Amino acid sequence: MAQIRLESLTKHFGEVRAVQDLSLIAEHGSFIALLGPSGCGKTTTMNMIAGLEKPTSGEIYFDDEAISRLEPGQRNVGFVFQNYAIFTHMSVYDNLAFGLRVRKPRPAREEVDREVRKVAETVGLAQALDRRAARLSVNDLQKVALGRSMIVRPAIFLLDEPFSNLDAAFRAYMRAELKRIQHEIGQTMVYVTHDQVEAMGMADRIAVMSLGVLQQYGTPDELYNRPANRFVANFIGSVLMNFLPCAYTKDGDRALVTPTEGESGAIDVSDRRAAIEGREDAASSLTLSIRPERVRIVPPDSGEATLRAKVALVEPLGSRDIIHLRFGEHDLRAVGAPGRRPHIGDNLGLVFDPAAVHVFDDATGLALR
Amino acid sequence: MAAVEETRTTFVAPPASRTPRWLKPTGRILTIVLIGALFAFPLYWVVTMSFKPLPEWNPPGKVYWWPDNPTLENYEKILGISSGEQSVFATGRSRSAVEFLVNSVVAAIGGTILALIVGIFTAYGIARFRAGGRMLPFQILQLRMFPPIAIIIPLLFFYVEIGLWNKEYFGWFNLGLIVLYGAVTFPFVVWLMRSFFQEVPREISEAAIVDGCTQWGAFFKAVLPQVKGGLAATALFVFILNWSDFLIAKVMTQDNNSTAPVYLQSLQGGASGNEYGLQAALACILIIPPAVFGLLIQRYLVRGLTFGAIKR
Repeated sequence: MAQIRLESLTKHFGEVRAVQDLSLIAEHGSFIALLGPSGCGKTTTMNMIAGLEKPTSGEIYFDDEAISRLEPGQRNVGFVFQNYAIFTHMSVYDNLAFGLRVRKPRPAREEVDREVRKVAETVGLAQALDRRAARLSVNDLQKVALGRSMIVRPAIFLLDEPFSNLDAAFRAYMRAELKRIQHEIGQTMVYVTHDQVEAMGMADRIAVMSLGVLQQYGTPDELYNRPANRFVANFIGSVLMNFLPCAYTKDGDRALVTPTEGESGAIDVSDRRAAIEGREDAASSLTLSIRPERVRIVPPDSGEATLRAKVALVEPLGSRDIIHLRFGEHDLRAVGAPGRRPHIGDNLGLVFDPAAVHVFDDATGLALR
Repeated sequence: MAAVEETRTTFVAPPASRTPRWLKPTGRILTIVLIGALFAFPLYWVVTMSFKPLPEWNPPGKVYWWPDNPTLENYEKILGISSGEQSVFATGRSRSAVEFLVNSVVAAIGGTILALIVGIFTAYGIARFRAGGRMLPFQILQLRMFPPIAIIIPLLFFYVEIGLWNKEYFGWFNLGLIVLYGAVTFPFVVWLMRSFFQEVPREISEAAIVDGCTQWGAFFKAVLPQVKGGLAATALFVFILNWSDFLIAKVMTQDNNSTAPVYLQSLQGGASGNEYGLQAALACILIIPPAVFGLLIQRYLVRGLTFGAIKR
């Protein structure tokens, strides 16, 4: 039973600012992903929650109890390491029992045995208890790591890229398995990953980090549909987002953005007028952006088309095609249905619906809305 | 038909393959045996010598390649089972070596344990916490960069001054030797164990700490067992060094307080003449402890070599 609250958490390693002023709340029983490229401070954040690193400043609360001075062992967290950290000199059984046996007072042998067998059942290791950990496959090592963190019944689970070494099929299986386990034990989980697909698929809320700074914290839908800044827009989504430099004009009551290069129509962004006009530096340039999935493809002669672009490449993915297009000096991407696959060199009309278009301030990178 | 056959041979046969096929492995084996014999001969000579009676040791004008009248006399004398009266050279010097062997065992094992205890913690500190900065490992190795003989004389004065020279407690516990053996082998322990500890992922100790261990608990329960093989190899290496030391014991001890290698050397020359048979017997006995130790930990040695197999 625990809510995690980070308050202005900061960690510096000498000159390196690993984590900067990070504040967020993970509600009890929720599944939180810390997402970002390597070096963004997500593992450092995790280590501070576990107690393996002391924060430079800021505080961590578990259910309103400040814990940053507690030893890792007193925090009641379970930690799954990226490289599993399995004690290879022990059997699977002893690995699972380790967390219980180092407890003081040491639990009775029967109790340890009962817990070990229960956990082994949950993670699917019941048949492998007597095997030496050194002889396990990577997949089984992962299960041992998961089981070992579960046995102490932690209030909080911390998982540091636990699936990054697994093969694709087993990774997909473990993703579902982990969600099941999380649902079963109902505890708070914090999951570190650099894979946005993993984060989007598993987490209730995602904290996107870059260079030690929290970029956005929200549900997968929020991150996908309303990215707070250009970094998040770029990082979330399996097909790279489209970006085009644009100019802002006013036409009576209407506020319009128009791509600055090439021939194209204007996009009505009147709903964002206040934000655009009130941006920090009124002279800063703007970029419009739209998800490839939200680009509508129409015949090139359609009056609806915002702009026309030439097909450069088609990536068939089975369920859909990713169509790479060339618009002036810019590469654009759109997602099309396989039934109407265009040919390379075809001209397509693309519609940018205003509701799907994001406008970013180039000076700050922030979304204007 | 014949023409076809001939064409084939010209194409297939490599030009220089005149030597018959069977000669190649034979030649190889012969070379191996020859080199092996070269290395094994001194060992053979010592072992056979230890079973030779006095007249066969080194008679003028004759070489005994094999003991004509094999005897256990040398072993009996050196182990004090029978006295040395039969020997024409019998003087006070060819006494039993048991006392010296005991001194050797105590000093070598004591020194090894001391070096291991201090060295392991130092190595872990360096490997895991970068204790002492980047130069510390080199500063420690520096202790071994000059030959021990370079410092043995000042050290001798120092030992005389603090009363550790030739000092044996309880008649078998040579503290001075143990401390020196520990000190001179300590750098090896640090360097060997450091690299073994570096192979253990940091997360191993962190996992134990998250589970509730203290830093010490994590070290003993999680990290140290992972380097068992390396530890065994290091212990054997250091023990052999200490066991075979001559110089330090020669300078720092006298008479009954010496170790077996020093006694071994004293069996040569002087009034007693060269007691080759006794020397050989003692040498053979000296081989036993490291060999037995090596066999006992062989299992771990192999594991020490395959260490790190889990890094996937």
